[in-house]
Amino acid sequence: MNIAFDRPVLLVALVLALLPWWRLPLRVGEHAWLEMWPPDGLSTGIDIGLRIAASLAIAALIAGLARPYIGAQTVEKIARGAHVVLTLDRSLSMDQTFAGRNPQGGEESKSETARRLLTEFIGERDHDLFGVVSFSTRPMAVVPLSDDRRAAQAAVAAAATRGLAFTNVAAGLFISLSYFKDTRASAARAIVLISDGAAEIDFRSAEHLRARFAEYDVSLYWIFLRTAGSPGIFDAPDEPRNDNAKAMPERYLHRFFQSLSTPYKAYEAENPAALAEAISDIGRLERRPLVYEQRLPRRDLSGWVYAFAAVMLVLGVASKAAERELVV
Amino acid sequence: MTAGYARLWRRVKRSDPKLWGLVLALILTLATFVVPRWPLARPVYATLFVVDITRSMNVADYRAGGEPVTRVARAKQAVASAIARLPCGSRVGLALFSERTVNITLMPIEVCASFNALQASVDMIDWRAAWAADSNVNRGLVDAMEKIELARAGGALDEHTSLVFLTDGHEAPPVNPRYEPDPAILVPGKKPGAPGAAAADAPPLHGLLVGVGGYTPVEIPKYNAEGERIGVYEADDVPQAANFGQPANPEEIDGYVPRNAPWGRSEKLGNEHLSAVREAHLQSMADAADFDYLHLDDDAAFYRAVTPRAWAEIRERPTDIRWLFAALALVFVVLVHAGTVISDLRRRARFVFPDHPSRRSVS
Repeated sequence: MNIAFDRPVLLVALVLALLPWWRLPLRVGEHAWLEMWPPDGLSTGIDIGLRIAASLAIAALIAGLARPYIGAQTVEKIARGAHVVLTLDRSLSMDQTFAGRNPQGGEESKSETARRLLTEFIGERDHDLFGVVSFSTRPMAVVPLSDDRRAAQAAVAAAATRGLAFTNVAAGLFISLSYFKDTRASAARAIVLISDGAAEIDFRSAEHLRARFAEYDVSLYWIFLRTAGSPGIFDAPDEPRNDNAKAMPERYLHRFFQSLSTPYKAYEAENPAALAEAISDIGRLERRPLVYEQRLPRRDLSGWVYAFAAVMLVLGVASKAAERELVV
Repeated sequence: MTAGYARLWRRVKRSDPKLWGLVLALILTLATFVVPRWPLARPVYATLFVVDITRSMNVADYRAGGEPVTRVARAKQAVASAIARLPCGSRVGLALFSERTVNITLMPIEVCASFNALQASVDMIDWRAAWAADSNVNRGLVDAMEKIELARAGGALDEHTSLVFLTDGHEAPPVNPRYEPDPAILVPGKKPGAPGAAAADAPPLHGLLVGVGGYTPVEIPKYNAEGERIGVYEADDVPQAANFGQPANPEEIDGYVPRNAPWGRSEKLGNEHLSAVREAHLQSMADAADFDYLHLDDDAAFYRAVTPRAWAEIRERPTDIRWLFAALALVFVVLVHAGTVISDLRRRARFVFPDHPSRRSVS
């Protein structure tokens, strides 16, 4: 519970709440002799009560004007879902179609297809937290893991704009893994890597990645957007001399991912329909129960404060309306 | 019936204005629940903030609380504070500049609903995300303008989107102005007939170039692949002058040989390894693109510069007007109570000083 004010400067006006302590705005009766009106406890009590009410009415109106709110709170919720970091390839080739051409007319580029399907995916998964990382030569952390779906969708939409340079998968995965550093282990954690190419991962990065995946217990889904005619994940080389990471980076990256101790699944999507199928598979897989923290937006309290002011004012009006002229 | 009304009217006439003050205050307070919101025309903004993340932005020539702050950190802070102040309904997108390209990382989203995500996204902007180490600001600007135009045409951005580019204007390596694209070509109607010119009837793009950095040239820190600082860029580490293509005016170049040394034979000395905000360069780019220019000093001035009236889209939004009722109610309650205090003070004055002028004025 942290109550704060939008316009705290206005609280200076709280001194006005002292006004009723001068005297209540009730009629003054003149009496010849004080002894006729001995002080009694009940009257004093009512007097003090009315002053307090008047004071509080003024204070509440001022507090309401200063707009009090409860700052963002987090509540724990239990749901079925996952912490998913979408790791998007921003290399230039993503702007081409699945046929490896620049899109013409009504054709969709790979990044456009990915954007459309991922936007739906994010929209459907109510209880998942999504984070977005994009990478080309260097990784970019775009949106942290959060329940803000619109932000994740905006980041995915941005990834459909014209791309950058090359594909550095290891760097992208490192920053995606770093998203899980602070989150609680109860959730199912997944990285969804969406790329249309692969790159060799050097030995040192490979060892680091292996250790991180195990440490954070993250499962990996690789959606490989295969361009027609290019080598696939599952292709075996025709000749043994081509069987190396330089010639077939996809195959070797796949083999490296298979060697991780955490669950891994690869999808080779050669057209938009295959990509949609891969995404719906992932949707089914990560359905373990999880405890997650949902951040509540800040809550405006001025309504309550005004209601309180109204009640206090009712007391004031009632006391004023009840006064009668003393006919002596 | 009429007798009843007459009695009521007599009672009202006899009654105390203080009672009516309190009743009005009560009615006004209750009104905050009856009409909490009212549709009012409010300005909203759609802004794409582009932050330069090239190496020269690592120069720590800003200060906050006595501590040196890098240019990129200062730029991030300015963007974050502007996002916090923008009226609800405004949308903000983020983009990074490095090399010759502006990379949109986040399409504009609503600032109030996605407040946390936006602040976190700004916070995660990191110079290490730079995909290449060059810094060609002019091309970056042109690229940003092109991308926005394309996105507007495709419906991904709406046409009120304005561009705010925060950079120190440091071109590295130095550019040959002869081969630089002209941002003016992309301004509708500014250069009609030029190849690639924007359609004259295209909606204009509002924009602001923000000069980030101090005016004194300082050394640029150098980092290794692990992100550890390993000193600063020396004069020999960077090209000191443009040497690409043919120079625009060869007669000015000492030792010009058309084929073998188009940029002269003498050693180039210069201060390209030092960085200060290049205001003249930024100013001229801003003029070409019909943008405004601002040097980044304080957040309030930055906010004013990114929210000019001309950029706003006026939208009718249900706006919280409870404060209006509450303020009036407060005025009435305070008047009622202040009234007792004032009349008592007068009475007392009359009692203590029988000749006090108030005595005459009262009775």
